[in-house]
Amino acid sequence: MNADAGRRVLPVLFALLLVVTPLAWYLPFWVTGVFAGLVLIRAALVWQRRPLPPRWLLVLALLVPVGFLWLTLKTLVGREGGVALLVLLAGFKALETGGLRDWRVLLALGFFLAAMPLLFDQSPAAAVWLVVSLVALTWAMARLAGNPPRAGWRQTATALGLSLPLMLVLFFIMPRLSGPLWSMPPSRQTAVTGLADDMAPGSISRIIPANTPVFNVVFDGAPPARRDFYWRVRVFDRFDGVRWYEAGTIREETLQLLGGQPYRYRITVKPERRRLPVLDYPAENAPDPAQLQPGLTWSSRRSTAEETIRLPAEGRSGARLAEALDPARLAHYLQLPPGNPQARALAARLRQRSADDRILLRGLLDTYRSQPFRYTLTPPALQGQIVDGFLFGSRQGFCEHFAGSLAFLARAAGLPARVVVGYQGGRFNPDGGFWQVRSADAHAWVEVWLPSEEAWLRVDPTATVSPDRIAAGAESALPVLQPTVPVIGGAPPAWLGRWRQMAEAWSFRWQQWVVGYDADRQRQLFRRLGLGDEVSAPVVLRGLAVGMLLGMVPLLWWWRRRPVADPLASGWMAVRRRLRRAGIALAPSDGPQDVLGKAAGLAEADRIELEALTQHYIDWRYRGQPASAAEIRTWLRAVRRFRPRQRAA
Amino acid sequence: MLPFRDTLRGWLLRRLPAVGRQRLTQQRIYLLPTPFGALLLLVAAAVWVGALNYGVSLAYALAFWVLALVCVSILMGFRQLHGLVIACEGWAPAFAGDTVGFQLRLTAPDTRLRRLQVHVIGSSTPVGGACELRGGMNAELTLAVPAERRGRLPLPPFEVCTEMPFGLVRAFAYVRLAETALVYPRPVPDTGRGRRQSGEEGAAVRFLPGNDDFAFLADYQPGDPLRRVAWRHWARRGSLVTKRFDSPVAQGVVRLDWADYPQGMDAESRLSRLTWRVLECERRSEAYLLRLPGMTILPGREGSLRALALYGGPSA
Repeated sequence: MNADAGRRVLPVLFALLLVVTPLAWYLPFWVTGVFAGLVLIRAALVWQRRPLPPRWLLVLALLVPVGFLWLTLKTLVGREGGVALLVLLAGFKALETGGLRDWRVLLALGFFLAAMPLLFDQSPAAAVWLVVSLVALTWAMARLAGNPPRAGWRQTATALGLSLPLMLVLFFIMPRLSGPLWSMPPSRQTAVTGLADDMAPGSISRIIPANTPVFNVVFDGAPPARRDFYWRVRVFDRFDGVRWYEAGTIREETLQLLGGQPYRYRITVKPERRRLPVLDYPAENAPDPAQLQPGLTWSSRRSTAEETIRLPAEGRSGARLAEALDPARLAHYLQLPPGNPQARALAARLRQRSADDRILLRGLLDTYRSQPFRYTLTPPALQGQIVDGFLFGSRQGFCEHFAGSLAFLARAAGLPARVVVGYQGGRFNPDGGFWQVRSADAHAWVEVWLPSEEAWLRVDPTATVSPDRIAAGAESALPVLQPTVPVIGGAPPAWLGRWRQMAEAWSFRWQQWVVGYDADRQRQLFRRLGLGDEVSAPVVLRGLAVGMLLGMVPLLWWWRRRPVADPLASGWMAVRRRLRRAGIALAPSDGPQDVLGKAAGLAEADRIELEALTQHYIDWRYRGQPASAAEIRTWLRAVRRFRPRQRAA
Repeated sequence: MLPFRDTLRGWLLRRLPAVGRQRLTQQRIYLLPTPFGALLLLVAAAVWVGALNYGVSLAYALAFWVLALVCVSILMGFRQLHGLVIACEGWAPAFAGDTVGFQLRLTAPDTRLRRLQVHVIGSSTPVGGACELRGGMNAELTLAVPAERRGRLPLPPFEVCTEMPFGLVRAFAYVRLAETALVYPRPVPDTGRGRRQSGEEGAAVRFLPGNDDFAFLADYQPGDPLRRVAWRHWARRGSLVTKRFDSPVAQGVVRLDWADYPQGMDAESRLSRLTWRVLECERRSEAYLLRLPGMTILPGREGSLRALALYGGPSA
């Protein structure tokens, strides 16, 4: 067994290299480097038919990278650690692989490794690479079993092609679990995108690094008006003079949602530090794994941050958020650090002038209307008394400046207030039938508690300054910014927008049907296919039976297809097909001579070519003149090139 | 090999009829995963569990694709054998202790590439060979079956198997062809020692069947030359008789007799020595005459060796 593997094993090493390539993006760079080096060394040994290094040397050599891995990642389990260790072990396994059985073990390991990049990325590109990996692995398998390269390709294509429909059936019908069997150790946060934990001048500009999609929403039924698209993510209830943040002390015992229009929708989102956006205001029952947090926000129970989840959600738009605040909580929402005397004076002045708290609130908002405030994403930096600096100095800013200053004014005027950050707006994708919210839609607004009504009121000061920002989104609100902020600046050309929309629709479908295909989605599909309302054993069995019958169709076709025994006959059939396509009527009974006779109307060169082809065919077929395999190959090549045309009339 | 597998195989072999040529159909073809196939299924299961746990949807696709691949390769393995026709084209006789080469011909029903292996079942030393069929050709394969003792040697049941195309599934079929080869006794050199030295050697047989003088008429035996048939007798009486001629014992005709050996010598030793002497005579181109108890064999290598091979057997 040792000797006969020979150079047939090189495809195994090639396939392993292909499989591991995408991991280079996710693992410490040297891990894949070491792996590639080990595999190439093995390939060189195979090529030169040299013996393997001694095993004790390998074990010693393995200790170095594994130790280094421990030093780099501080762990050998979890996603990065575990996968990196597996890749290193596979590399060293390649260097001690001798017999056919060993090579097959290595190949099976390759199939396992092919799953590893999927832990990091499930984009369509990852799927394409998975197919490439599978083709390479299967071909290596065919080569290892002793097939010549071309026959190996053919068998690989046949086997993978025939198993594809079966795979799809299993993929969609086999039951999915709604939760994990055991939890995975949390992985290191490599990059933080999205909303910040706190809000200080400039922080929102940080969260618009690009116009990347954040979440998608499909409404069951009509959606609310676009101006009501407020997606809560966090509530900041404390201000320290520089930043607003979550004190983590909100308690809500007496919260009540009154009136409003109920909406049902499905949201597809990747939690950001376990936070989930939710449409103002969410209903009390949060579906697993969402969890209702104080401040009416959602968090995810799961610790796996990168996992995209799909949730059904319910909310009420335009509802009244009633809450009876006790003195302790009143004081909490009125707390302000010292400083910003001008703003305090303004608030006190307005307070004295107003008869009730609604008039007071309108007076506070009028401040932004009566003065020349400007909405811009590139405001001047503020230091020290930042609220005074903004209200009486620069008067330029974006949502967080407006929201922060209004909340300050309200508190100074004796109205409990808090800042809510999240997303405002969204864009409808008509191809996919969903709304998409992007990072550029990040927004901050204020909730003010009116003592006379004992309810929280949503107040968006940005809307008073730049109503377009609320009605049409950040892109159209900022026409002047196009040159400096290209990412969110202005509308792209129409064709590009159209193209981008289609791409988004496809990626949405990919997200919905492949990456986010879960127990819930499966139930929906079963219902749509009429298999049953739930994922139960009889329904799954029924689905598998129907699906397998459909999946067997190509298999049946393959089973009935017999390769043509005689290349000469198949070549002659091809000649006849070409002639018929050129408009020459041939009867099935026509022999070669009849065909020549009927093809007299061909162009001169084509007719001569046909005569030559036919003559060879007659000689080999009927005159018993033996033809060598090379001659037949040449003849078949000529047949493939033969494209006859009728003589021009 | 696992004991139950032997039992199962024994049971299958007992049910196996001996046929002239075997066409492999679903009744004859068995399919089992190889260790590699089982390992790959295990990998698919591991990927599936991982996908289940971490909710990696594309990993489901990988696990199911590998599973479907194994299933499809079962069918592909089955197709390697399905429709294959196996026949025995002949054999070359051999001496006990040598091997008999049974010539097998494998004919494929289509042009698909096939790589097959053939092993004799239950042989202590591995007997078998491999062949490749491509382009609708048929292939020949010689099974060198060890011949342990003289007599008739039936072609033992053998297994046709393949792990194509991926080595994941082993498709195999047991075949028993009704073909029997002849095994001559193992020649043992006999240079004269141990042979009974007696004076009556010349008197025992006066005449050898020869060509010279007409002696008598005997009933026709199949194989008698037609020109010795007494046609006149046939025309008159209606029965076939053959003219027999005797010639006097020629000088140098060697008589090989069962009775040449001491009383106590067992039959196999006698046959082995006689075989050697027949071969020796053939080698030296000497005329010889073989006598076994109850029969005298006409000179000729094939006839003599055949008689020696089958002596005492049920069909002797």
